[in-house]
Amino acid sequence: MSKKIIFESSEGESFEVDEAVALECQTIKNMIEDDCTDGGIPLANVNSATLTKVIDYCKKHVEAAAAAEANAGDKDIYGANKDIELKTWDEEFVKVDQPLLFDLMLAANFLIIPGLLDLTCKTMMRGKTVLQIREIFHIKKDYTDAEEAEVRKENAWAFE
Amino acid sequence: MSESFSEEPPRNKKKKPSMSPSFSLSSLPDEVALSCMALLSRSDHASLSRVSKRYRSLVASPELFKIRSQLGYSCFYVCLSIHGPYSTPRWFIISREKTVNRLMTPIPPCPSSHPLKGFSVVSLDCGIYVIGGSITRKREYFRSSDPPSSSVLLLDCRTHTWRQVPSMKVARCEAAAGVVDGKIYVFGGCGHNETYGEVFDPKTQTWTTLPPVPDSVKEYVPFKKTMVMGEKIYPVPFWNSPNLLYYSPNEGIWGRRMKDVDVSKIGTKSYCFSMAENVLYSCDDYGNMFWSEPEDSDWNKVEGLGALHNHFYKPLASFIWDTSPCDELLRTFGTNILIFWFKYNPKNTKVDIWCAEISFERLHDKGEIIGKIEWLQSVAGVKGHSSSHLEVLHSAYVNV
Repeated sequence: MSKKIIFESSEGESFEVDEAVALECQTIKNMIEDDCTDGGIPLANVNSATLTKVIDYCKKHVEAAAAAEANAGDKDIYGANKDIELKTWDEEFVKVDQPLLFDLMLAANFLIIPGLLDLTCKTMMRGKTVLQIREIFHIKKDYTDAEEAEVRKENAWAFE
Repeated sequence: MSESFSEEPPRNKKKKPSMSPSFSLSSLPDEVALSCMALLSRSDHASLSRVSKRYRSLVASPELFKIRSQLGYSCFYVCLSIHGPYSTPRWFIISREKTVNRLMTPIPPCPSSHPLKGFSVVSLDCGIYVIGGSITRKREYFRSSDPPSSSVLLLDCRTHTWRQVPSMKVARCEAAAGVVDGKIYVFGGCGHNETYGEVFDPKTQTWTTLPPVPDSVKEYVPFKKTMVMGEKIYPVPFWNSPNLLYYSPNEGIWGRRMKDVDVSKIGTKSYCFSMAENVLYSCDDYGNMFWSEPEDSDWNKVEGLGALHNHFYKPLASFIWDTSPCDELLRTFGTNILIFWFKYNPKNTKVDIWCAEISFERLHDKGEIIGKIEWLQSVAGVKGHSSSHLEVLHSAYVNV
């Protein structure tokens, strides 16, 4: 039996996970190394819904890494191997509403899960238009029309 | 800008009460916002700049570029001559994101003072230096009598703006240029004179003359490429040359490399080579790659690149009349190499510019190098041209 780690969400709910899964989070890894995980790890800024998703993500990636190791050498000529399946899983994983996605991003940043941070940031912001970003993040335009025209000109290379 | 938008329609009216109160980037501390933004592409940054003042200042902040360089991000820039040899070249940025459809994006046009040909390019810090060259528009080929230029342009890759930096002491065309210890060494591309080589220190913005070259260098020799190996700078002439000249900045001396960089064995008309992790790589017209130790003159085939060869040799379109690799390979992250080649696409009568990024794994016990294609795709199509008008003049990778 592998060692278990207990997380406690902001609502006070406990989540028991394998140590290997918890190690996906750099922040937790440091705590485990410093041996200060006894009695559970309170995560005051991560709610239960988010934590459930985070644990799902870590579990999946631990399993995938183990599977990849078992199948090492089983690559096609492009070297693309099995990560297509994991990519598809990731894509499905982030099909959630914006608030949850945002909370996931914050959790990934706090717990230091580089893969999840990358995934959530890109899903939220990549390839979005200016208006979409303003809408998603509730940002008010603070440019005057003249200023906006200038910034538009400056960045025109990306919109040609 | 391709990401599927289906998961959140723009008219998202779900203003649920459960929405997290922190649900806004504006509420994030700069530190967190920056670590998120660092993961995005340069064109996403352009969108973010237009969102609000705060975003614009974050996108332009040195911290963002610091995080990106720690994460190992870099951008590739390619300089193409699209409309034939007399037209002003265009610079493009190549996105390495696999999911972005449009891979090659033009950046703002360069100033009219940008040389047409014969210029040298180095990347340093967050910029690309365009050094010397010629703006002659009359003839197709260079002669030593073409008026060379001493001017130096800098493309700041953070803002994509061009500016002039102090000119060299001597005008040069087809000069060698390389960076060692944050200084730019330039030599040749001019007649034999007291300032055969000079060095630019970006901190002081000054050019300083290098020690005089050995007397054996008497003639004007145009250089095709420059290699920096073991902190020595080697100019590579257009033709195969024994005993390459080099300059060693640390010792402050000129020297000769006794071993030949033998390209004749590859049997390619356009030999092109590049250094990555102190190994020389070259590619022939059929998409075969070869490697060689700098101290060895034997070329060995890079294994595992059958797909690249097939792509060159058995193209997807039914008839292809040109799949030659461009004269330019480039180094990325110090370990990967990009290869460009052109293919005529009869379906839309465009010339497609193809690009592949190759990473390498060295098996020391077997004495082999295995190549892996990280990605391979058409990055742009140029309409109405035969590929003979297209030329990749330079490329550079910059940590931005």
